[in-house]
Amino acid sequence: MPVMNIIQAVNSALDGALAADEDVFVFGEDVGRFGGVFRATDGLQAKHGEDRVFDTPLSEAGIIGTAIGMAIYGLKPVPEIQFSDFIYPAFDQIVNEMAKFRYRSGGQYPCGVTVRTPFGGGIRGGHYHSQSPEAYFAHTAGLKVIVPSDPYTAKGLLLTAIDDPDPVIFLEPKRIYRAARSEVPDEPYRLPFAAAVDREGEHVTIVTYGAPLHEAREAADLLAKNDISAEIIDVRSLVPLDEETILASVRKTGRVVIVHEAARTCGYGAELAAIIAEKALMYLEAPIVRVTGYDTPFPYTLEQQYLPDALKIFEACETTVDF
Amino acid sequence: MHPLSILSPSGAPEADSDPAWSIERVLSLHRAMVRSRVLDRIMGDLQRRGLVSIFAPAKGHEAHIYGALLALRPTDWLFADIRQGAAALYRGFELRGWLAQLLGTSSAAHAGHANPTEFTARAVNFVSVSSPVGTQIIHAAGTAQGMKSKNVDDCSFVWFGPAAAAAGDCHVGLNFAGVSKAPAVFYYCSSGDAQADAERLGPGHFVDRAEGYGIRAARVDGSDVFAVYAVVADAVRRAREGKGPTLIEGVTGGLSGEGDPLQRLEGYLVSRGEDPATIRQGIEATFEAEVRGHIEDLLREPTPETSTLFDDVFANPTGQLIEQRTALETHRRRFAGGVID
Repeated sequence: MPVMNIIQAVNSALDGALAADEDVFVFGEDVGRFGGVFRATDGLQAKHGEDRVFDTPLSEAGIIGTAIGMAIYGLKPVPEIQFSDFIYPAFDQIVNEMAKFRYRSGGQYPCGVTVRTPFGGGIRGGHYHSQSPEAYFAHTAGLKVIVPSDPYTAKGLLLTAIDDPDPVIFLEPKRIYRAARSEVPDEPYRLPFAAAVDREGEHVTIVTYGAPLHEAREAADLLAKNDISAEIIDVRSLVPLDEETILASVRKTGRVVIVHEAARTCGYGAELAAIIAEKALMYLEAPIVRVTGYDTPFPYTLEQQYLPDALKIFEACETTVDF
Repeated sequence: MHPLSILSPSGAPEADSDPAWSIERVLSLHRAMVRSRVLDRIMGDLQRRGLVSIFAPAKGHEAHIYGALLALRPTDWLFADIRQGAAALYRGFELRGWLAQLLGTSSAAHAGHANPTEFTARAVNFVSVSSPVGTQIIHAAGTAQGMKSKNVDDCSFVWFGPAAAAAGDCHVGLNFAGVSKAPAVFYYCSSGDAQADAERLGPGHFVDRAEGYGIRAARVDGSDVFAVYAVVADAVRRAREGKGPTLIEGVTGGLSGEGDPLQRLEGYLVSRGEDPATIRQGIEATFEAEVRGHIEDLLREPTPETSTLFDDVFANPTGQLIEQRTALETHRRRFAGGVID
């Protein structure tokens, strides 16, 4: 089985989807001839043609509005927003149009758009190339929000997203686009929109998604040397949320550390903490702890201090175990 | 650019321009316009009675609507703003279902999910209307691009007004269509108040902006249903032939006198030897009774089931939605009789 990085896995998924279904269209800024600023669409235009894989004017509202017009017409558009920091000009199209078309039409106009967009920090991009906007979209009824954490999940979840009849915001952790490598089948496969136990443990549950999964693994290794056994849950699907996989782990360990890069206040971790408190309170041995970005704009020089890292996660787990 | 007119202000055709259509065809346009006025009047009435929260009358815009519809075919997609809901009826959407959407009763296709201006009629390719102005302009460009990609010779057609024309999405939609050369027809309806429009869009003709997008432009007397038909038919033909999009400016007249599209058409009918006042009264009496009959029936319908609040968020509800639905239903059952000591 070939070993791929996330970019290659995304490219492989798009290539397979374009080959299998002539209703799939891939487009965005510099997506066609150039192959994408991160090369995720490299070679796809040459292989599948300029009608199927194309460049658009630089307008996020235009890219998403075009995708909506195609999706309600019955096609399967997969637009790319080059950085999720630039998705806000399309916010009205996403929140008021894409997310509501099915509901407001009573199911007459489904809007199956898959919006791919790189997100997260750690690439020295400053606050306009580093943001984590997942909570805005998870808060919007009618959108599914998916975050892969490695090449294998990137390909399998993206193919599920493209098949899904509803709109999906597919957030790709760009910090690990090339760093994360895993075995990925060449042929198409689909992963369910569900959480997975990434590592089994006994004393504390680390709940996370995207790039910080890798820092959580590092932290778990450090914890193991201190005789603390950490279970790691890779959430993968923020909407719909697989509550049971998370709650089963909480019932087992009784201790929870939630990790994400996005700012703390009203971040997705707040929702996770609320659900755990509502549904597993009597199993908790310690307060839920969050390791997150801070309530500041994403910084340039001190980005490594802003980001959750293995030591912050280690310390949070230690604190909750010692409570 | 001078707007095209075919009928003189009194309704008589300009020299040598009588379209000389069959009288049945002209009367079908007249009937649609009269029915539209009846709906405006009844909806205004329902609004005053608090049965409908919001409704945008089509009065004064009927030539924009029915002239265009006549030039389009049923497989062309319609993108409307809040004034053109009755276009779905002209295309054959059943009146009762249309009124149910307006009233938000349990037989509405969307079970009351959307407000009374936000019609959907997929069966006749009338895309669901959205209150945020101008968003549909980009969708029309996108659907047209889809049609082009699939080598279909249909087109998408979008109506919008001065508020949408000032919105960013209007620029974006025109720009995307100019680049993609998709088969889209953009129809801007001025408001009928030139001064108010100038305060929103500046003093020039809106349609002059088309040149910068590489889009063909046309300007038409929006009180003249024959002229609207001719201009839209030309734009649609070009779109089908792969010659790209057109931006049309329909100049709305006043809401009374010679600027009134219905009065103009009735003037023409007189020149054809018809008695439009009598014909109109006949349509009004029959149609008003039909509409009011449906409304009485619909108002007797129960409100939509609680569970429908959660329908059509997704194709299949998430676990979270099912849990919320169950909680609301349980709560409502418990307190169905009020609070019990």
